[in-house]
Amino acid sequence: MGAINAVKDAINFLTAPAIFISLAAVLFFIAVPRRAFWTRRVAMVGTILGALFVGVSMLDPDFALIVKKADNVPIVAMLFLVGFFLWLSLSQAHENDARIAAGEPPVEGTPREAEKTWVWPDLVYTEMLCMVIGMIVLVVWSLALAAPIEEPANPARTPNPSKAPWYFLGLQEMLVYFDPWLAGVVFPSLIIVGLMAIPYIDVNPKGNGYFTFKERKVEIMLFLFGFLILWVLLVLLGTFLRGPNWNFFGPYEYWDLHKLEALNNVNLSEYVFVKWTHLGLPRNMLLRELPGILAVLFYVGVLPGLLAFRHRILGLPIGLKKYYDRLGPWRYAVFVMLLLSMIALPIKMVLRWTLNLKYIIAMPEIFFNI
Amino acid sequence: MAKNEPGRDPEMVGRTRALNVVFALTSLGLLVVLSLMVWADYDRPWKKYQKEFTTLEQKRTEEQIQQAVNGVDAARKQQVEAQLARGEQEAARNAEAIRKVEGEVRQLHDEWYRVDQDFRFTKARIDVARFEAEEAVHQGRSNAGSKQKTLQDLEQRWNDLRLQLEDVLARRAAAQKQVADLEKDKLEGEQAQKELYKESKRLEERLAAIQQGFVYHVRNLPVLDLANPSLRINQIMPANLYDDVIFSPTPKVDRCTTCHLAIDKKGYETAPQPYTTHPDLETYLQGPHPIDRVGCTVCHQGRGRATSFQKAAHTASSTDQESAWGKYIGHEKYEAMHYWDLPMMAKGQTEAQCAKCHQGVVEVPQAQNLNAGRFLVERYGCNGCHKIKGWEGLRKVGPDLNHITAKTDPEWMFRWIKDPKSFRPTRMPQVWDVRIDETEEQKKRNDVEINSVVAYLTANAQATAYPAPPAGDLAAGRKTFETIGCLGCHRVGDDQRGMDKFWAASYRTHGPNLDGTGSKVNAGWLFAWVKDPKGYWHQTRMPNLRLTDKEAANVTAYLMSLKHDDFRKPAPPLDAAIRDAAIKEHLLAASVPVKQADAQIAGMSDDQRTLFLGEKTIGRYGCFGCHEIKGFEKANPIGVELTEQGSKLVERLDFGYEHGQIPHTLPGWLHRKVMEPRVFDRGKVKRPEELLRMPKFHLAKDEADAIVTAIMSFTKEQVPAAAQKVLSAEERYAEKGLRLVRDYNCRGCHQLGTSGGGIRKVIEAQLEESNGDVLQAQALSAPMLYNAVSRIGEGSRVHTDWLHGFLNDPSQHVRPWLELRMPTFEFTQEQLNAITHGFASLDKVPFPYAPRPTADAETIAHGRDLFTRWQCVKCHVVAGKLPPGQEPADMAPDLAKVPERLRPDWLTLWLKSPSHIQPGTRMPSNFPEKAEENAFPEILGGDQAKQVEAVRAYLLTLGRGGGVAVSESSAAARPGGR
Repeated sequence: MGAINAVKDAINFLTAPAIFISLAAVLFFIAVPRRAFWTRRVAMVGTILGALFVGVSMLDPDFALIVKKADNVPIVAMLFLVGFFLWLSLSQAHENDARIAAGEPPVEGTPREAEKTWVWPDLVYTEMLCMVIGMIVLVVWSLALAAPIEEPANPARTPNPSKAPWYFLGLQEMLVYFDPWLAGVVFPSLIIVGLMAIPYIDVNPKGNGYFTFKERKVEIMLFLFGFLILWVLLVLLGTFLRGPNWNFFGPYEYWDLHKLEALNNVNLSEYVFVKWTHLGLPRNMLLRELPGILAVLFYVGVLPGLLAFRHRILGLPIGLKKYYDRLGPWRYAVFVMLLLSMIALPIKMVLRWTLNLKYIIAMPEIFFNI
Repeated sequence: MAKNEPGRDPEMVGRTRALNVVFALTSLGLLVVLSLMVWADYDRPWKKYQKEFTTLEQKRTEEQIQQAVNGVDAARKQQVEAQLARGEQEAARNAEAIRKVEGEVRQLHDEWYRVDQDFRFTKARIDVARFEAEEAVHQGRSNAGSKQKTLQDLEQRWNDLRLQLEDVLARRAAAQKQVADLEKDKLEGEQAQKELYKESKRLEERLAAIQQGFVYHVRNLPVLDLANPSLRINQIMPANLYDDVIFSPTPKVDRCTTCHLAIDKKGYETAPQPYTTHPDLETYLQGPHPIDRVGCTVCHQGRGRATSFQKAAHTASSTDQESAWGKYIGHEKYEAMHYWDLPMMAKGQTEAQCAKCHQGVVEVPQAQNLNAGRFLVERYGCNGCHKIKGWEGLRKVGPDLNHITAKTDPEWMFRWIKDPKSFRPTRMPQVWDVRIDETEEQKKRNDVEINSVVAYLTANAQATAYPAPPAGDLAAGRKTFETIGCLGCHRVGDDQRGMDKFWAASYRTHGPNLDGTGSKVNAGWLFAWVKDPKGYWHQTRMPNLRLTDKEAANVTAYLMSLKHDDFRKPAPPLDAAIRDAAIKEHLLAASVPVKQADAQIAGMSDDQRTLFLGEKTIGRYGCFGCHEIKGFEKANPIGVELTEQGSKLVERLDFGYEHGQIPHTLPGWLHRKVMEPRVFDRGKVKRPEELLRMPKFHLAKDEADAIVTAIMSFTKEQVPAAAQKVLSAEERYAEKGLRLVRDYNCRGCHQLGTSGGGIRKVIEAQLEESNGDVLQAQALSAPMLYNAVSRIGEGSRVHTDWLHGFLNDPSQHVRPWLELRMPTFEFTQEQLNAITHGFASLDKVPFPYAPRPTADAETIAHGRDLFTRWQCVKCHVVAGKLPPGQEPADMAPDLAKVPERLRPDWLTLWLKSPSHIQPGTRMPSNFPEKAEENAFPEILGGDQAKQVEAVRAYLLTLGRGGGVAVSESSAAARPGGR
């Protein structure tokens, strides 16, 4: 029992948001570009380990309680589905890359694959079968897990935790790090606008009609980082690891209403004026928030320009000159704004985890915080 | 790839074949899954219960049929069969004639059918024609005339048909009569047989209706059951009752009877749940709370619309039941439905819901647990610390402590506060040393706190020195104490007389148990107290018994002899270091800066520090909730408000580390709380000011149950006025009176309805001890104030003005033989009015003045004659005149007081049958109902009513304003008078 509890404690520790998201990001950058991670064997081992983890963990009552909740079942399914399709696309992409490197056409370009398929039976018949199977799955699901009926809605007594629908839990997790107007209004709008803008920004002609990674490395990494780390992972976190009072709970932890977390977060202005310079907070709001305002202005005003004209900054290959040259000033401007908005989330997360930073600009007087 | 005809391409054919197989398999899968869906919809838990119940009912009906058949009288059966046989013979003899007449009847029937149809159709056409005629005339159409003509024709035709119809019917009846005459015996036999087997026939029809035969099964098949299944959800929609589903009151729909199928049927009392009959049909389902108008959930709570066990929000009453019910949700332990704010009342607590509709009454009829609980809430003074709407402004339950030093000394106070129950049974709770995990350190601190409280109380008491009482006779004092009625409210030691039931016990514990009084109070105070309780504490409920100085001295001597001296041990010395630390902690908790706190303590003298801590401690533990204490006159009560406690949601309760050990329900939590008030602190790390403060009352389990029921009745639920019990004006006055009856414990001596009269048991025991006649106990007890059987009480007995005067000054005794003394309560005028009006309203007699009848001289003369012949004066005093050689104590009430005291209507009832009104009375029943049993049939023909009226008329002439002069000296001769 002691050993099991130690393992559980270790997993509870590793799933704390800071560690969990960081580890996932590191794994993401290591795994996605490497072909060795996308073989059948890895997929098989990954599936077995995943299923084993969920299966064995179900023996823990606290884990089972959360995972078995009728609302949460789609998220478990989503994990496996996302994994499968990720593997499917990346394994094909890496295979094509190898073929291209060897001078062969991609798999999709071989004569057999290039041949047209029949409407019947390949399309219509298959579609109908899919409908039937879909129907079976839905009926079985609805029979096995009855729709949860909850208490009459009472605005005076909201449930604790109050959770968004599962597909919005990523957005809700952003609220931990940003003010509602940003996390709830600006970022969601930017996500939709950004997704719509992709075809107009992406001028790379490679990869049309076939999977490839090498030829679209940055595009794929950027998109997948946004989708997997900043969306799917946050949905997962919000579903399984956020309990009463939106506190973090490890997967093997009881959702105790009385659990407390010290939220001793500090604004940037307090860092500058209280902790570092001991000057005391200026009375004037704008003066007080000057460091934050300058930082934000630098981030959105200076940084895009800086990135546009350099290949490397401080020795790091993060310059975007290549893209500026390829996209031209207007496309580049849109692209870089979207990119910086997306990157703002992990930056803020890291700042919160490491420095307990609450807001970079905190002007509650006018309800403006960043 | 070669281009083939699409249909002939072998690869395509192959793929199509493969997909055909997949299609076949998935179609089959879909069929299975859809069947499962239909089954899931069909398979509801309540159907199982309905089937089981039908089997049960079928078995029971079969048994009943057997019983009914067996119960038929054999001789009668034979007789009927013989009659039937005779009838058959008779019919055979007349077969030819019968056949002929029956043919006639058939013919007439056909004729009737034709004419009747014509008749009815014509009526329909008349209605049409009338409408058309009216419209045509109204619109001035040209065909108005012809329309009117049509109408007239039709009406003429209708009248003709009517005559025809009546004629046919008469002829048919005549023919039928002829047939009946021809086979008279046979028909009568059949009728007799039907009568004989009526009951079993009825039961057989019932059986056929519920029988699980072919039709039953077909009706209830999946899909087919959409038409008219016999397995169906039963629901009741009570009038004017709503579920509050947040901002939208939804009419209540109770489907409980879907499974609780025999809830309103007699005969299933011992059947297993859910088929058990309601335990009290007379009061509820078939009584004043009819099931079709009241439903179930307004009393029981829970989710009425649900048709499964957990969704109906059933509540387990104990952890055992939680385990037993685990099967309903497939877990080890039952968990209540989380999503319904009004969980079902656990067993034993349902009465809590009575209070929603029965408002403004002292006691809700039949709701024993609720009444007991509300009584205990008041007796223990819960409302002192907890605000409860409607319970504000009640007198504090503990004595006034502002003169405490006059009564007792600090040594006793320390021991008492530390552990009151070790001195004697008391309602004073224990405030200190009651944590479940109290440490030695805490106990030391407790002693310091108690010491400081005693110091504060001592320092703030305004002591009056009482002189030592005159010497008294202990034995005489004991006699007085035990006979004049002290035992109606007080006990000494473990006296269990008359304490057999909750309410009976409550009367005799109205005042404190007097055990150990000699070790508690000083004699001078006690002497003054028994002589005039209100002189020491104006709010006391203790009445004045008009003791003479001698009596008071005797009683004092007796009570002072009740010692409990091993209780008295010196208080431990006050530990100054702990005291100073406690003061500092109080100051810091009040946000005083640390340095300032130190300075403040340093600036205080030793005494000041102790008093400071005493004041803070009293403030923290809320002693002023029950006691008047100087300096806390305006302090706010310390407890949480309980006005809506019964509606508190389970998830808002802190179960601490008691989780799993008590039922996870509000009543479960409350029960634990009142039994062990500090238990939820167990295992918690808290600063002293965060610790729970409720004192421990050392309640018995059933007391706690009752209190929990009372708390559950403090709900925020609102029942529409239309569904509530509304008190009539009379009932409101009666309740006001009953409230005073309870407050002043009248029932300690008097029986009122089915309760009270506790003193009688004491008198019985005393008579038994002294070998007296136990049967006299009733007569030696205080008179009954309301007879629940005859529904006659004090209100209809006495005139309002007399009662008013008597309550104001009861020294004018009515019953000279009683040793019990009606005390002087020193009621205010408002209270006197409320009591007198209350008694009049209880008996529904006129208030305040009763009509006075008139009588003629002849009637009065008859009355006087009867009065003399019955020798009434042998027992009764008249205007103080005693028969020679008799003591006043042996005599019946003075008849000269009749006109001013007794209501004439009551007098009639009394003379007819005294024991009917006052069981155990010594007054004989002199006027029997039957004239032949009358002792003096020659007077007024021995008629009961006339004789009684005559005697009454004569009695009303006695006394003041009557025919007999009142002797002025009589009052002084009476015993017990002041």
